[in-house]
Amino acid sequence: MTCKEYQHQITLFLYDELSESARFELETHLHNCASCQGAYESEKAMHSVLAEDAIGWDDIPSDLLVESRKALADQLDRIEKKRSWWRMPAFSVVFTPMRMLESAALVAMGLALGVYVSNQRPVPVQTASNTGQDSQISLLRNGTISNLQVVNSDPVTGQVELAGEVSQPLRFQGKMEDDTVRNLLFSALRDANNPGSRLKAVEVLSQKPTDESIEEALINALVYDDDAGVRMRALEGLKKFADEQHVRAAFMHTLQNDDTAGIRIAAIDALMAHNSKDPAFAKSLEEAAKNDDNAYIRSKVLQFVGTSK
Amino acid sequence: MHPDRPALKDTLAATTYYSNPERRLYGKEVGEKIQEALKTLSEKERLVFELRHYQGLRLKMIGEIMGSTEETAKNYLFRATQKLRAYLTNV
Repeated sequence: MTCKEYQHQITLFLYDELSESARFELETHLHNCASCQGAYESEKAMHSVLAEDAIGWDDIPSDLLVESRKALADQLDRIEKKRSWWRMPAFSVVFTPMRMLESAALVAMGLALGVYVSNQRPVPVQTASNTGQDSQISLLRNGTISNLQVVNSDPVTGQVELAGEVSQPLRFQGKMEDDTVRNLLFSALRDANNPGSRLKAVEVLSQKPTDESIEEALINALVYDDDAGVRMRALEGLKKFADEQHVRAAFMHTLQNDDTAGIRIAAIDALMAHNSKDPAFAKSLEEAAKNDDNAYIRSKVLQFVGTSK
Repeated sequence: MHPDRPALKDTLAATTYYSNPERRLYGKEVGEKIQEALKTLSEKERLVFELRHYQGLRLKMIGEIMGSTEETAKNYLFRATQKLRAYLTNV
């Protein structure tokens, strides 16, 4: 493991999130590496300051705490709404309501997270009697089971309720018009850990963005995806619709908020190419881009505004 | 900044903000700076940091809440603390 990787672990160490073996390995390394020891001391000092701030929370009036938790719940709600269109559990076989798992979080976090939980879709409970034996065997042979938990266990009747997730290998082919194909691609877009998968999904969806749900998926990818490559590809897929109101709004949002100058440039080029030079639109474009730190964007806007009068 | 007041970066090592009223007042100012620093985080970084740091939830649980993994939550926590440190040491 490199020093950089050890230093990455210092944060987890201070939050007591390292396994015993990883902690031992890190402590041994810190003992022998002055550079990492320095990084540890610095990180520890910062952690102490932040910890003091957290202690200060004990003194906060309870109503303020409730307000803060509500704000946190709103934040969770907002994140959930951003994802809502692709959070469809159609391809994840779950034994019992996901709501059960989320309820555990609810207990831990208090009233505020109820908002988040209420947005989840319930998953029907399968029982040994209502699931065919063949499908159960197939599930256990081919699927990968994770996060399995015992929800209920009755020693008298021997009844056990389990909750978890099963993922299975999948190969599927069909046309883009097919709901299953589209839902699979939407599912790929929710793969937070795999930007390559999201990029491929956006590329395929961009080929036929005529369907409203696909257009919405591309807009979501453009506005919310963490990966700049995915956002850029989504923008390219939407370019020819830049004169439509909701696509134009998404491009304006990108122009005002995207961190990547290249994407903002692509957004303004598309907006200017696909919209008439009417003064009202030119004014809103000028408003959106007048403080942009990119000179090209500012000059393009001035040019557009100048020729629209 | 008051000339006698230590720079924030010089006080990061201090751990007794609340031992007397003066320190407590200064601790409040530090708290305000931390709140400012939190605004520099992305939505997910801030969410993970607040759930772990203030609410005390384990990263595994946070990953589940986010519909993601513990590893992802770890990465967000790491990035959050790095950003907070960068912001606060420059104040």
